[in-house]
Amino acid sequence: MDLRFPDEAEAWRAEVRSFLAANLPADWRGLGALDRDEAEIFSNAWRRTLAEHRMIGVTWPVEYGGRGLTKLHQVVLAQEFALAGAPIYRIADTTNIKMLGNTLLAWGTEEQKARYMPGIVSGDATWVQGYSEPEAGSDLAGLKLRAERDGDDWVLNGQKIWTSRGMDGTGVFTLARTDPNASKHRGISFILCELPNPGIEVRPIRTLTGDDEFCEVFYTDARVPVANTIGPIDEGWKVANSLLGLERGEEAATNPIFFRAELDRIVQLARDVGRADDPVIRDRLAWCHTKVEIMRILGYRILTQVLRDGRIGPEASISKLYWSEYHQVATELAIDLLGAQAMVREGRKPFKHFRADEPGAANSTNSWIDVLLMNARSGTVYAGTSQVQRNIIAENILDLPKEPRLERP
Amino acid sequence: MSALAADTFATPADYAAALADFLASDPRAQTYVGYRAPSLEHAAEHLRGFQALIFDEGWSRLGWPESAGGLGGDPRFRAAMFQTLWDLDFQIPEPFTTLEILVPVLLVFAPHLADELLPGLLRGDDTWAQAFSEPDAGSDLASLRTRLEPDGDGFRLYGQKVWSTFGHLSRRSVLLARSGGPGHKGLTMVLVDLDQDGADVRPIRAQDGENHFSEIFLDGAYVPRERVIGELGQGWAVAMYMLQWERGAWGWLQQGRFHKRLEQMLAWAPTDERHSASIGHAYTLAAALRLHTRDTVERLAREESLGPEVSIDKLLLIDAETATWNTVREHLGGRLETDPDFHWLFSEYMFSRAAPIYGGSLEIQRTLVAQRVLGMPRD
Amino acid sequence: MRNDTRTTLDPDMIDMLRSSLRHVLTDESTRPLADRLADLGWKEVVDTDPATALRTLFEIKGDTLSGADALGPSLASKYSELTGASSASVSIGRPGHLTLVDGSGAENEVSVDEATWAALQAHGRWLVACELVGIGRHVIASAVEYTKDRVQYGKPIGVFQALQHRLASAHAMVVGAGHLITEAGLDGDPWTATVAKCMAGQTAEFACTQAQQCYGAIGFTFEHEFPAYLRRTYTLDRMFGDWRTLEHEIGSRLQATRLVPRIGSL
Repeated sequence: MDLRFPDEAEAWRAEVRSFLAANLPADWRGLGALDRDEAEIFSNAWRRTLAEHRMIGVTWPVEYGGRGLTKLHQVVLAQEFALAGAPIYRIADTTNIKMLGNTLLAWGTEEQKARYMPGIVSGDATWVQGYSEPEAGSDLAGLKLRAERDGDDWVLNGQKIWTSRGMDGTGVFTLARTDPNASKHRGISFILCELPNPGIEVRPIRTLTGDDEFCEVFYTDARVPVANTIGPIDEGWKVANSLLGLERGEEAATNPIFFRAELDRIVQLARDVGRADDPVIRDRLAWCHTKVEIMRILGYRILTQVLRDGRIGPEASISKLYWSEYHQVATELAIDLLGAQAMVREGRKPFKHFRADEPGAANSTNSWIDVLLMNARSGTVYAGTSQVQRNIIAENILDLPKEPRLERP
Repeated sequence: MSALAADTFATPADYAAALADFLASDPRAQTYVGYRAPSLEHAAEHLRGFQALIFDEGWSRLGWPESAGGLGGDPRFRAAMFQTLWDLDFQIPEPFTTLEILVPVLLVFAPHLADELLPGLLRGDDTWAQAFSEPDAGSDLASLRTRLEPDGDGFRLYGQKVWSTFGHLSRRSVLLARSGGPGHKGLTMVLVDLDQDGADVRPIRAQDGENHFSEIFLDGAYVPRERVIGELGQGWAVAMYMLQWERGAWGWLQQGRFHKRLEQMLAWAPTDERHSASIGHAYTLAAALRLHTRDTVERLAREESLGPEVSIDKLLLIDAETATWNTVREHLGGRLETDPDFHWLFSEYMFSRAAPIYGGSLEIQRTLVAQRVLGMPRD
Repeated sequence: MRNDTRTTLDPDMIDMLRSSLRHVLTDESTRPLADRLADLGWKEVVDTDPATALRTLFEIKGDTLSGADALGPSLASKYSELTGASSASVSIGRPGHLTLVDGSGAENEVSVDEATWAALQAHGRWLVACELVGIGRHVIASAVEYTKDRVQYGKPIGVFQALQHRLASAHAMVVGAGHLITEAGLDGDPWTATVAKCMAGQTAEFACTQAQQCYGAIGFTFEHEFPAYLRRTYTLDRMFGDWRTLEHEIGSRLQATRLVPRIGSL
């Protein structure tokens, strides 16, 4: 494992740095230092700046708004943004850019790319993800949303759930069953559904922190053009599963930066509450420190693999399990430091419901309570539960026999 | 022989107080206080005298039926004896731990054997092991293959047992074998003499260097018909009955040890506030184990059937045992591993690492609790 | 309910008490809890077996997630028992300080001697521990039901050992914590109350986190009852010392005294 980046990547790093220096406010401390309204305004303006400077989708071809750079360039960009505490795009863009943009480029027709890529790059479009269903969570391939062909349209009936930020979506990319007679993982298609659509209703679900983070999406005879199918009909499972590589590579590089920044906040909190000399607290902080360091090295390993092979293996499960379980312990420590104070909510609530609160966030009780209850506690559930990750590690890395009598994707 | 009887004491606590007085005042007993075993074999030899003493004075006969050489009273008296011995820093002779598990089974399924053999066993003149596991039958005990074949009036055993605790120091063993077809119904529990041709016992050196376990090779070892425990084919039911003692009464015995070891550890090392949380953690779990197994002992005393709930005793035991020894090791610094004076304690520590395995693994206990106590579905 | 073998109340009486308390703690009435309890002959029950009565009240409060104010009035009773002074509600402040609330809602901070303050804190620890155990039992029982109904991969997810083992471990802890709150009620010893609160806090938190992992996403929404139990657990654990703080307090005291109390005798 060579931890150095090639010269061309370093040159790009310098370019990214100078872009950030030129465009971030002089006193920039991170999105977390802004209140909700300010952050909203900043995010939208910043998103336009990024698009104007072609800092969105730098790996994408120039004709689709990108720069035609390598994945390594994207990773370097993500690192530099993370270090500067600068948002890489709006939170709602996670599914928009990482998932749909890359999917379209890999699988879309020229017509589809021409139609949808500009909105994704400019930020005028916000695509949300419609995968999970009430009866299809860990067992995603058990999904039942029906798409029946009627002339040039699909007619969709059924329900999706846990669609993050569904209320903000200008469209939902969804997995639907187009051949009910095919085996479980076949007969699924990847379909773009633009919103609003008279047959599609989006309803928020209130989370335990009181936010409308997730939505249910109901399809009742919703008509969508068959032309909106991405990739071959009935091959949607393959389409949806083909993109984890880039996303995970970037995550492996930036997670350690975010968790390091979060741990710095916890250390500061220990000082603020006068417990930095407490041997037990110091032990727990030291434990966290070693975990973040391990995460950093693990991240390099995964990154190396992604850049070398263009894809990521089952090792991604180690990383997912590692950071998600770490984050619960770290945030419990923060809450313990707040002590009885944690019973009183004050300060700004986080507006991101996964991973750490934004850089610059104050050590307020609202920040830590929400991050513990929502971001950290849900980390072992979303994107593949810890149980699923452990099965993957056991079966695909350790080569242990599969669990008996189980259907497997 | 002493003049003790169950009705000498109003409560087990009164008995415990009287026993404490005896142990503190009897010069013979005093020679055993604070005994630190240099090896398991030494302990077996040395503590035989102590076991005979408390039997001859009547103390260890409380809690066992008079028909079998006991002095009457319920199992709470035995529990009180263990507590008192730990508290006053007496090492509990190993045979007690085995008979606490095996003899209740005899009382129910083979009272004639209890009548005949309990006095010798209690006094330490006789020692027994238990032999259940086999190389290919661990958690899946019902798949065991050691055969029990008829021969004249009795039976002969063929096969191999393993992980028999203190097998090489025992004269007899309770043993589960296959007398019929496959599955649970073909099993029979017997008592077999190990000091005969056809039974070969070989100790296994465990990770602390001590011979905790043995393998038993059986090639025609003879079992008289009257040494069958329960009926032919009833072996699984006998084994299940045994489990409630193995998992329940054992938990009480062990909590006494944990409390004592925590107390000794505090005396042997200077205060270190960095260790407070782990000490508090271990103590809290030991306290929960103590109260839970006290309940279990009382239920056993009332002859209630514990059923699958007894796996909870084992789960609490595993947590308490693991936490206690973790904190002992931490608090004593490197002395536990390196100081020859602590070899006996290190040996206990190393044995404690087996808590999630012995007597039904942690995983098996959790599955039992989930399916048979909580009623979660089975595949 | 095995713990109830350690009570002078007979089993039928306890069953009745439980269902009445469940009713009282969940009804929509705005009348003060004390009045509602009085209707069911609470005083008589408390006089017969105060430890069982209060433990049951708080266990069911945890189980039902009732928002009824039971802690303040219970501490007021204890304060009255210790000092003869009467008040409607008491809350515990920094060491040596209490806030008394009278019938009209007026608050009055008083200082008390160390022993009185410590006794009240121990009483509070015990009551909150009982509530935490009630929560632990409830979330495990509900999660067990959920794993029977929820089907993935063509099977109820409860067949998966990964989930069975989570809930079984949590159940064992709840049983252990249940014994400690029972004993703390009987021996009235502040030390037992502290150990009980420590065990109950970690138990309820562990039970909640294991249950939440079984629920998956639904356990993060107010569509489901669960998050309210999780939030209540975090709040209650912080009252009178969270479990990690208490572990340290217990270990520190053991090191200082070099004595290891055996809680409960045969």
